[in-house]
Amino acid sequence: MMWNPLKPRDAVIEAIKRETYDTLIYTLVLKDGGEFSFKPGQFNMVGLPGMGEAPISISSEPSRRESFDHTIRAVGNVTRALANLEEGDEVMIRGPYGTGWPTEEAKGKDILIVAGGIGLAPLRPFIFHIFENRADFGYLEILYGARTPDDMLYTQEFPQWRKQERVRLLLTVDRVPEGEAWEYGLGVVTELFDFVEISPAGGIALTCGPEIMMRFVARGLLQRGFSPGRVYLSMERRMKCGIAHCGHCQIGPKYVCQDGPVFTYRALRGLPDTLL
Amino acid sequence: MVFKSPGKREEEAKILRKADLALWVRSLIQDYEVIGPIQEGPRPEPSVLGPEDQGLVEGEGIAFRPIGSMNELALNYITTMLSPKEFLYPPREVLLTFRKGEGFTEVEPELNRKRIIFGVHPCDLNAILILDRVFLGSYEACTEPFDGAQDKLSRSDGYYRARRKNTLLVALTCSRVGENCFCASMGFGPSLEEGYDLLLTDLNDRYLVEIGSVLGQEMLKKASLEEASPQDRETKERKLKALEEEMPKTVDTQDLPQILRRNLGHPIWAKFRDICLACANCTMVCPTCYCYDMVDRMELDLEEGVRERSWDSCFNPEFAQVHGGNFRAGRDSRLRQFVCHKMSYWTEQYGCFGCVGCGRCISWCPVGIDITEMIREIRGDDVEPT
Repeated sequence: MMWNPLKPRDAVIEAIKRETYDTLIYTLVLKDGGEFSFKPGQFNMVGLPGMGEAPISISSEPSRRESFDHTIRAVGNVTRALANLEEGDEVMIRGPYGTGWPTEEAKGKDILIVAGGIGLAPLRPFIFHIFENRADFGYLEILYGARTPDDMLYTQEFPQWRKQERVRLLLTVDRVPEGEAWEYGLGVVTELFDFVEISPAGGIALTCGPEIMMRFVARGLLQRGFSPGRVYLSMERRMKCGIAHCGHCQIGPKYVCQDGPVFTYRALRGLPDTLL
Repeated sequence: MVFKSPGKREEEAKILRKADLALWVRSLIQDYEVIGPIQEGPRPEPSVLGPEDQGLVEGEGIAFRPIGSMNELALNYITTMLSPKEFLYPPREVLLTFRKGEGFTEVEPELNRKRIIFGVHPCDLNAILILDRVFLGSYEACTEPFDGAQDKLSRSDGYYRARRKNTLLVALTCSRVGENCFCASMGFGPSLEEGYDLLLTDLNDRYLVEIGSVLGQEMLKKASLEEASPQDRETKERKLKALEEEMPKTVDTQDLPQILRRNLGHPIWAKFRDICLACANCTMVCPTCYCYDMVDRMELDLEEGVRERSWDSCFNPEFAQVHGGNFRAGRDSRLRQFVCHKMSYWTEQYGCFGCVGCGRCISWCPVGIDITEMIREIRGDDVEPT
């Protein structure tokens, strides 16, 4: 057998949890029984024979090695096919790929996380990395926005998150369906900036969400004094290979799959064909 | 741009008389699979061109194909429509097969014999060295012992690697320049320093044969050779100089990557939005274009299928499409991606230009877009930031 990074590995679905009306959390184990380790912010190419592959971020705690999670919203061919699977079924994975969040650079700093919708999924491993190494990091503020309360991920975990030391979680939604109770913010996620306590001097910001949201997040943070090298964004592009060969994910000279998906705003500013 | 040679570079040069070429090529065909330029389509009218001019019409009917005899070789060609890239990286290739419940099975490239690509012009040879960087990191990556444990190699493409490792390159100095050639500007021709196993140069009644590797040396073991004289080398140098002077197109590459980076908003992109058809011809004939698509094809019984890779193009409208939208919806942004990737981004990614100056994208553009003219226009308007 030749060396072949394009040949996927078998993984078995150990559990499926319905997270929202259109989003499922899949817990996978490698079929060969091996451990799976990854860095927060990395992704896998997840696929099914006959359906192809899609780049999906890993959303589990990085300290867990015997299994790993993908939080998947059914919006495309591959993800809709995945939505039809059951526990015990097999999927094919390649990875982990990409650079991930700046776990080293973030040490000793206050951390501001700004997420939108499913953009919280690639940030969840970093949030758990902080919880599990709490002394290494400063104050943690998480700003999370979604279209409606029903679109919010990981809400069952939020009480646990809030119990951790030096953590603040601020929530906002674009709108609340009639008759639903909602005690948090209303409006886009940048509306929460006025409540942020972390100062640019000792802070670092990480964001993931729709690109148009990240545009306003990055620009808003710059206005508030954050330097472009301290604002990290996780980008989404079409990908076929995950190993910087197929060419699809390029933004200027950057391969999102290899040089990213996490970039500083400084690295992306001025590149063409983005909304940033 | 100088690449490292595949093997140990020998400073030797030999002479092969043209009368002895056929015998040598016949011996090569016995020992290797030989791919070479052949006249595939109809020959040009003899009334227009003399018999020695066969293959001198640009791209007309000349193609790299496996050859069965010396007679088929059209070594006097100017350029082919497609470079020999397809013999390392096929336009369409089944990577994996699958059966329901059984997962994927690898389809390894069939490599029965060592393969020679014979008669490769310097631009196309340099294009192969560029593809080595893209798919392997470097040519050396495919000669080193390899088990996937070395991190720097872990992304090397197994299919390209298997073919490349099995391929020898016999380069051929051009006889004449084509109407769209600009390899001299890009530093990828007409002379060739390294990267070949053998380099042939036509010196009228004889070939100067320069040996680039031990594998090249081995290829010559059945050839009847003479020592090359200093005059032979001089004749070659004169020929190269003449080619360089005849080069019809030029690109000023001085600071070009930076100039393009600061002209992403230049009006030229909007100007070409309604001219470029986004037909993708330029990317299909480009010897360095490497982008691919991967699709799964199911049999009608839905029990088995294949995962297939095929050349893709940044001009295809869905190339940069994601769930939320298309990052290069406009043809202007797609043309800009093509030009700026070749002439700017590539230098940051791979340490060299992604254009070898073969001129094919100009020759095969149905609306006459000329990358050298575009660059001239952008350069002309460029204002250096203070």
